[in-house]
Amino acid sequence: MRTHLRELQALSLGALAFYFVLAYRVALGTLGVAELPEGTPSLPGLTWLGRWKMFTDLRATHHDVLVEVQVAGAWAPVDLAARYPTRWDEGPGWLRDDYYRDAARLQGLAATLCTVEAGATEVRFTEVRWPKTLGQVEQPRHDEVRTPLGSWPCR
Amino acid sequence: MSVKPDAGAPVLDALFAPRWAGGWTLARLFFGVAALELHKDRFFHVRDALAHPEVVFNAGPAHVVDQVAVGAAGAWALWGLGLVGIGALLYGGRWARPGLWVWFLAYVGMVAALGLNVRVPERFIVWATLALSVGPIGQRGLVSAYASPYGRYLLLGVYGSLYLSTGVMKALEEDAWWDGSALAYALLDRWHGEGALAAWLSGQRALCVFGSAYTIVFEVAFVFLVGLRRLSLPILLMGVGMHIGIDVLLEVGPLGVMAMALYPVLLDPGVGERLWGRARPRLGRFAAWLERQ
Repeated sequence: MRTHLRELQALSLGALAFYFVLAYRVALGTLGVAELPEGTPSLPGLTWLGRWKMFTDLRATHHDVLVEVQVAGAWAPVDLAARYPTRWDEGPGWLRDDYYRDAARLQGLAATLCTVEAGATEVRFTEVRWPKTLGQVEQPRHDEVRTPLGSWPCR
Repeated sequence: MSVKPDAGAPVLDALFAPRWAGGWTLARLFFGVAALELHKDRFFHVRDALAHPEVVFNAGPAHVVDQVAVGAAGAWALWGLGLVGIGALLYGGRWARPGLWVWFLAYVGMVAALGLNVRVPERFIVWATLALSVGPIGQRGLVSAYASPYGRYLLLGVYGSLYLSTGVMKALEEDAWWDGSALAYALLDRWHGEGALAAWLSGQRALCVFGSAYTIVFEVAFVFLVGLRRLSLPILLMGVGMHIGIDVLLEVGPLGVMAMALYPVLLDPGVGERLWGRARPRLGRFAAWLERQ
């Protein structure tokens, strides 16, 4: 019985090594260094638990999301940080790129803001980026680049 | 050609020969303390996350909260359950494994309940929990005991993959890691940057180049050196230096502390036993306490 357990353990370690090698291969594929095996579209999802990417990309800009509501024909900013302080280690939930770049989720947020902002007739979202300033704590906003993320009328 | 049924037995005998298990005691205690530190901070975030229940900022990949509203009471219950689990893990003995899993499942529940994204630290926690579960953490007196190295091998695979993958990606994908600028700009991250020291360092090009090179060399070399008896301790000390540097300069959550917590298991067990033999007479009551854990 003990021998069988050791064989199973050895097999499981081999399987684990194979999984991590596969995950590494997929990671290289995402870099364009290697091509993903053909006919395996689910590989990135299957190897997600074994892929690690931390602080890899150069991120030379800060970013924020500007939220505005239109009331009586005039646009007014919404202090989303005050209204939704939700955060988990790395800033507010609404400021994560996989949230605010998802139009469906922004549409849902717009619908919510329509109900809580008195007199709102439309909500629009804009991504604002500005360059980081090396060597200092103060990070003044300058040379802003604004990218519209979407706007939705209130119903 | 025929193969004897026990042809691989000598290999398995050598591979799974019991090794000094004291590292598991230290890893369990360190990991428990790291989990407690992480869990303590979550207390305030539960309140924040549920401050406005009319909208959920679900970053996935588990979209449970799109369908089920857990609510404040449920989230607080999960937090309390996690605390109980950590207590059991730290208490040790037969309560260690159940405690680990109670904390882990409570943590998973909190992530799902609050609609939060699953990042590298959370994925690492999955593997760490798995490795601790198959390790001998349910036994007391491990600093003077020997156990199967199976759990250690599993951890070596996880850490080898983690460091090699992230190191190679930095080296291959981003030229800015070679001139230090990727690190310099990371130090100014709005949420990860940790204040004046990090901001000052971001303007010191030579130090950023050194920090970048140190990180890449460690991450790529780790998997090749940690299994070598003579280099096991030096490469782990290098890792401690990297993680402490990151934790001092960047707010990156639980990953660094939790990763270091399991280093005692990664250390070559022979080296660990020798170090324990040297340290034991100097530790007095603490050594006696550790022996009872």
